[in-house]
Amino acid sequence: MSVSVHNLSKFYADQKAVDSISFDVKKGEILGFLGPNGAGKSTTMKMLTCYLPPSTGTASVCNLDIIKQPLEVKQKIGYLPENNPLYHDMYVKEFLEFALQVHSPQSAVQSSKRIKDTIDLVGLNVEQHKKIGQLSKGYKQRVGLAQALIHNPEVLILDEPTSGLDPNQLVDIRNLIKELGKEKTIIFSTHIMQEVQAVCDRVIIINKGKLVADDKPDNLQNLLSREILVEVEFENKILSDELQQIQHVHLIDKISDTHFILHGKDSSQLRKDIFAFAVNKNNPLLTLKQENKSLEDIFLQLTNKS
Amino acid sequence: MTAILKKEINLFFSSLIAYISMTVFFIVLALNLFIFQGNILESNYATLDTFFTLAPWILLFLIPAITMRTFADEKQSGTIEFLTTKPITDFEIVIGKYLATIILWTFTFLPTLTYFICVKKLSLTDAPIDSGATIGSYIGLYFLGAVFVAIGIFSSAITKNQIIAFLTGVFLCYLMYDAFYRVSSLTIFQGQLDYFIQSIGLNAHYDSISRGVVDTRDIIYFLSVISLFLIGTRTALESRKW
Repeated sequence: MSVSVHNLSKFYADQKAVDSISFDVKKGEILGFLGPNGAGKSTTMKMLTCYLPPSTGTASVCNLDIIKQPLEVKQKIGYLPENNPLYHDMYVKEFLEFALQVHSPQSAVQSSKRIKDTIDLVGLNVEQHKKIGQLSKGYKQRVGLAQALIHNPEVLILDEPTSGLDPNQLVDIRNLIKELGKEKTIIFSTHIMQEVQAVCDRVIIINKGKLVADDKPDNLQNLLSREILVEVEFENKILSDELQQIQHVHLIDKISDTHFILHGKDSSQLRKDIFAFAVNKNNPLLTLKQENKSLEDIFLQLTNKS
Repeated sequence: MTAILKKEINLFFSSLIAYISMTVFFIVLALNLFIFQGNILESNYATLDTFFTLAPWILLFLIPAITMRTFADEKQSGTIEFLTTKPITDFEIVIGKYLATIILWTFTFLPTLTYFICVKKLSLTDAPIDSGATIGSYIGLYFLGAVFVAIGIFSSAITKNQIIAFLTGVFLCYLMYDAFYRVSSLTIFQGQLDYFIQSIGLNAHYDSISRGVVDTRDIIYFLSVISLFLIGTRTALESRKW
């Protein structure tokens, strides 16, 4: 196991920030860490990176205990803290050099090669001669990632790596995370659901410090998607009552006279029935589209019930 | 630790901090020694007493100003989380930063040795400068600066706010340098306790070295105070874990 967490808890005074959570992350897995603000995502990450000690429970990274062997653990981890703190008056290369030397002192030749490779990897080429303070938010985020990657760690812990980025930058960073996930174990937190669907192998949802779900994104979706929605559009006007005749349909949302959303069960049969219905009524179908319940709905459902 | 040391030195010397601190220290003291009223050319004594009396008071403000950002800034900007999640101990961070500031202090201190050379050249052969006492005073001043740096770094580690760090630094430096001496001369302590209270303060030991006798007790005192504040700094850093 790359990362394994057992009954980890953190209390601030009498408030439970993290309440005995347990999970394992296999090598090469990308784990999405989901939860509303204040759920305990960052606190868990801070404990894994040995910034804060847990109140109770244990965790290990690459079979090294976070309490007994913090220095070895930190050597294995690349960490991008929340809000990406950087030294704004340092140059990009100077900063990466510092981040590398602080991990493992290396000769000038080795380190400049490693810095160049990392700059290429995160796509910082254009901006590499600037001061960090002069960079745009997207590039600062890349510097943060570069800093986390510089010593080629086995485990990457990224705390909201995509917050505040524009859509293009989002796609870039997600692709980069996906690319990195081929070799490394990655834990990253976010509250953007599409990101989880796009990037993660597995999702953990926590709420008020407690683990509420731990599964593959697809499975989570199936869990709550026994009911399906089908969007249909006909060429000619049709009455809701007529649509009721279709088997398996139990609810109809009317958008316009020709455009409806049908709620039903059993996806394949339902669509066939709708098609047969259209042929029967001699009313050509313009749209027939099945919609799954999104992860967002699942997230809301899981985090609101408690 | 060397990485931290290098980073801090770069920060001092790539910004104006280092040059301003060196210039301020050198010029203010040179003006008082050679030009302003009461200078040694008027008084006709080949001695650097004016310099050694004034220098601690300048340092009292100068050093907390240099050290105020050391940890306060890292805490404010969150980079402390970057540093403390690297594979180095908290104590290495403290030592790295302390040594970097000591190097800056050394560069600020060294130019003032020219005063000694000047006065030595100016003095008459039958009334030369007391070299032993002067060298002793220089050693005392250097240690005094080193203690102030430790106090300044400690003050910076206990807050996020640089101004609070500066004011705390000035206050603690004053307390250590002068306040114990003043308290000891209150009438209620006369007799038994005054010597003891005096010897807690920096002033007594600075004066003692200034006489030209480098006593190991004084050196041990200075080193102990430095260690005490550096351990305090580490404790302040670790307080995040409580």
